[in-house]
Amino acid sequence: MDANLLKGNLDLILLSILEESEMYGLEITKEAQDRTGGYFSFSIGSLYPALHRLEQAGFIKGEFRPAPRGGSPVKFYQLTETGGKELKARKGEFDQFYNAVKSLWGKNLRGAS
Amino acid sequence: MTLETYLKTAIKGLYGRKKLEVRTEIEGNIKELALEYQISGLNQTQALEKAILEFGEARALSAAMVKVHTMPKMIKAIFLAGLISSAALVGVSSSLAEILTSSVGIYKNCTTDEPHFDSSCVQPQSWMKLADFSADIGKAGGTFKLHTANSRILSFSVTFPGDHAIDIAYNRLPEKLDPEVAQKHDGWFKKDNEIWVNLSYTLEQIARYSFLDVIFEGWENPKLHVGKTVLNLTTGNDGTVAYYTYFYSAITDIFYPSSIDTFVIDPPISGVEANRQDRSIRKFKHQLKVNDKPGTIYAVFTQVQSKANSELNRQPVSTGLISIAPVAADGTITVWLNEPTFEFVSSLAKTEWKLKTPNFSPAALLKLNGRLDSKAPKTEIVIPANPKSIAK
Repeated sequence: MDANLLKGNLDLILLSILEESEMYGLEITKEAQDRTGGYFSFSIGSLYPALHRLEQAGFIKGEFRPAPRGGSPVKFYQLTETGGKELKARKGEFDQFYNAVKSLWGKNLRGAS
Repeated sequence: MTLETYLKTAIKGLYGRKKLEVRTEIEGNIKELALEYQISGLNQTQALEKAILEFGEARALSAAMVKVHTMPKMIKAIFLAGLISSAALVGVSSSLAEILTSSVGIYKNCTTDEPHFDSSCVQPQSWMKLADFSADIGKAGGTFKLHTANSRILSFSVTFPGDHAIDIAYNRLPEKLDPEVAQKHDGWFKKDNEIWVNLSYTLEQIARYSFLDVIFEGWENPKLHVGKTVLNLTTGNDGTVAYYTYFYSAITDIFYPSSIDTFVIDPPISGVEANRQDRSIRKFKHQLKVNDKPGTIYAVFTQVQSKANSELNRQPVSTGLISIAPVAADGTITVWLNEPTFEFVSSLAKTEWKLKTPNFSPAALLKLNGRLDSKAPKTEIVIPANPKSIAK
């Protein structure tokens, strides 16, 4: 997929994934890949700056906890109340954008027929 | 590129606590990914290399992190400098949020009366369908609640009337993993749309090891009820009572560390050999010289960190326990850690705290409990002003 498209919607993607349950970085990557059939496949390292940015904005909060198998701790992220509102707003924006683009395509198709 | 090199590059440009935080986070995730690859069949070195590669360019990560964490501060600093030069002095204060890492998770129980096949106390016969397990819990009067079953984690809780919920989480195993191999690992997998989970707990164990409200009922009936779900209870072979939990370093500021006078392993054979002989319970004997009055009761807090705990991941794992034991005639306390972990003995790192409890009461453990549970009201936490005054 177009990297810019992914970059432009990364926050929405991350907030959407964390909407269901708290996860740590690696889980988020896997979840994104699994739920989109591999469509969202980004280098794992690129995820962390985005997560930290969202945390600074107060949309998610992180907490260090032991990894599921013990060993080095990992940071689990969860959506905050503000993050939930932000996600709702961004979903709305995205829907609007998507519908607007779709309506353009509809017009073209009609014109072509 | 080694992990250390990668981490150093990835945190370049970051400072202080943030630097440590980012390093910890990246390291933890890389190791988790490496573990996935190990389960898939790569050796440790290959797995780590591949995991590092998948994390992408370390310098790019560093640049992005610097942008997130230091740029806004730089802009703020420039703004402040402008204010200072044009007007009066501006006081700047900064506050650092405390990082709470004290969440406690109890991962597995190691009983002293059953054979174990590896350090995870996993028993081959404990694989079962989650649906069946859930039904059994229901029949036994408990409540089963599934929290998550995503691509990585299966987590659920089990509650019996009057008890707190036991939260359990498992890593997902690759579906291609050989079932024979899978049996040796803790985890879960999906087959024919059924979730199979390797339960370290049998139903009976769950009922027996439920986490209770604290009332210490005495030596004959070693039940310890703790206000929160923190401690697990089992009975050592020698009659001491041990409360297993994973409690990490949260208690380090409560009890001062002391050296262990002797540390012996019984039986004195290798773990593999013990397992082969079906003597899979290893006992680690701690003897602490306290030179106190015989019969005085001590609660001994021990944290054992292995450098290579399981044959699966070779990652450091901390296991903690609390044992309660009287001082013997020779002025020593003997504590047995019944720990069925085998191969890591030579690499054990040991830290230990002891709290003298002449009149042992649940309150002593409640202090610990309050400290361990990040959600517990802070007022419950009583940290001795001078730990040495209570620990000889």
